[in-house]
Amino acid sequence: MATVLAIETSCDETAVAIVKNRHVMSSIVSSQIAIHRQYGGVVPEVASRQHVETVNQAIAQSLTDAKLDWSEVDAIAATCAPGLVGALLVGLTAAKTLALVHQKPLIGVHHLEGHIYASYLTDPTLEPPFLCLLVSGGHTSLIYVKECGIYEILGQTRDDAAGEAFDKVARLLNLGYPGGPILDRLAAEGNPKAFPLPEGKVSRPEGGFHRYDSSFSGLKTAVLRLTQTLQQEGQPLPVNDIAASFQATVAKALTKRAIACALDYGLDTIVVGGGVAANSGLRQHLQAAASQHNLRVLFPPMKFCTDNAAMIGCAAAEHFEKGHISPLTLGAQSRLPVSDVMTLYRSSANSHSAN
Amino acid sequence: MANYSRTTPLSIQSTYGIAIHTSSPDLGLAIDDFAGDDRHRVWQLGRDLSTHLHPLLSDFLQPQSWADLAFIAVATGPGGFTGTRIGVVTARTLAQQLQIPLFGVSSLAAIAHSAREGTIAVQMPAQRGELYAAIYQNSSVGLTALFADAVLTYEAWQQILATWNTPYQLINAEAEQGERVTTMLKLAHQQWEKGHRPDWSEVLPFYGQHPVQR
Repeated sequence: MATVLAIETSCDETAVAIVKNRHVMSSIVSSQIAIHRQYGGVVPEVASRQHVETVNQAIAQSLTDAKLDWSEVDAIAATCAPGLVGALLVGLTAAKTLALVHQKPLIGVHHLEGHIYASYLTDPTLEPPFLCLLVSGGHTSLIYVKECGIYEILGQTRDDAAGEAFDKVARLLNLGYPGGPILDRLAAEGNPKAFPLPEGKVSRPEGGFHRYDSSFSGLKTAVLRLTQTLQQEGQPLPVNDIAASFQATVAKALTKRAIACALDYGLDTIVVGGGVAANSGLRQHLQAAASQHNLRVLFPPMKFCTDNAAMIGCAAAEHFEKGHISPLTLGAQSRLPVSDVMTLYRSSANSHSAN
Repeated sequence: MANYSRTTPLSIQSTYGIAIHTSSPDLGLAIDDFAGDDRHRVWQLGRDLSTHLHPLLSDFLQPQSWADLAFIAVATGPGGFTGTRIGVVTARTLAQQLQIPLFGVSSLAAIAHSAREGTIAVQMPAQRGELYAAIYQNSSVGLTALFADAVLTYEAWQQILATWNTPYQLINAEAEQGERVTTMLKLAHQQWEKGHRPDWSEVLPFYGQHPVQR
């Protein structure tokens, strides 16, 4: 039963958690949303500076909340890819220093693998294989989870991530940042069939459409054109109806692809990760469609949908149990396919590590 | 809180100070017990700083151990934002975990204290065509800021220098400052000797400029 202190600083949340296998002993999340809202989105350098100011206090708080001391911590983990490199480096540097001074193993964790593991916090008995629909501001992927560290990307967005589309549509409707929660709230008051919007199909060179890949840039442009047309007609913008129509289109597009993917690969469980997993429209559509096909759907707790360190610690605990340790020379990477997770762990006993 | 254990009480055996300079493309590390046992080393790391710092720090510390450290000094810039941050996060985390003081030392102050005694004006290029600049009074026993580290336009800096009413030596900061790590440690030790015990939470990088141009 490994106990891991994990740090997550890949974007705009400074998070530290202590996880004992699949049980969260403490979870600190210091959000920077209020700071970035004035810029309409995340400013990478601002995020990095804020992480420096908060990460050490969060480390101390996580130990206090968990009522643990360092002798009871088996390993130190940090998100090391993908993400904003300057932001990742703050958490990774703090983690390396903790590993060095306390002589604990370092475990680098892929951010998307963390989102996969958020579902293990929902159902500790969950075991692969299963399909993960990963939807956030930076990612939209369908991942075949075969076992710890072994993942195959079956589908992904060809342009905007789903969460990114929410943010951009919210911005063009002057609704503020972040767009997902605002649009979700407004959509509850609107008619999802008010405006037909394009789903965003991805053509295949040999003809037809890709069954699992998605595209959201055309949908975003369609919303822009719709608002321009309505404004030219001098009408007040029916923001609730636009929000509901947009959200329903995204939810249907994601649901259709996830269900097709699960059925094609004979997987009976779909787990959803990432910030868009908190979207009520997606939850309703996917749950309804999955039940029609006798598929099980797992959504992480709302607090673990957005970026957090508990999911990183959960993934790290399993890697630790399997002997996957990272060297102290581990770097931060802005991009790394989730299928390359195992490159984060040392391949020889000679690698320089903390112990 | 941390249960980092020492083999002996801090006041009896923890006599070394260690300094980390990462504000320029090279890494400087220095350690000193201020009684004759001192060493320092500089590595040309550039963008490899983040991957090499911790293994190098671990090796450099030997034969001393973490328990031998009485305080830490770190360069707070001005300089490269990312490099400075890596050094500051490392130093803050070490000081927090070891429960020892952390001295943040200006890169410009380290340059000024390396110069001859007298009034020293230091300038360093900043982004957007501006300058980092400061004026210090340097002596063998310490350094006093006459014009604290700031970011300003070339014209504003020229005006300050033109109206400065005492003789001064103007120094252009070198691109690679890792060698200044020994001066940093000396400046921190001077503060240590005066009884200052700054907490790690007080030390943050000096950026001077906001990333969003307003």
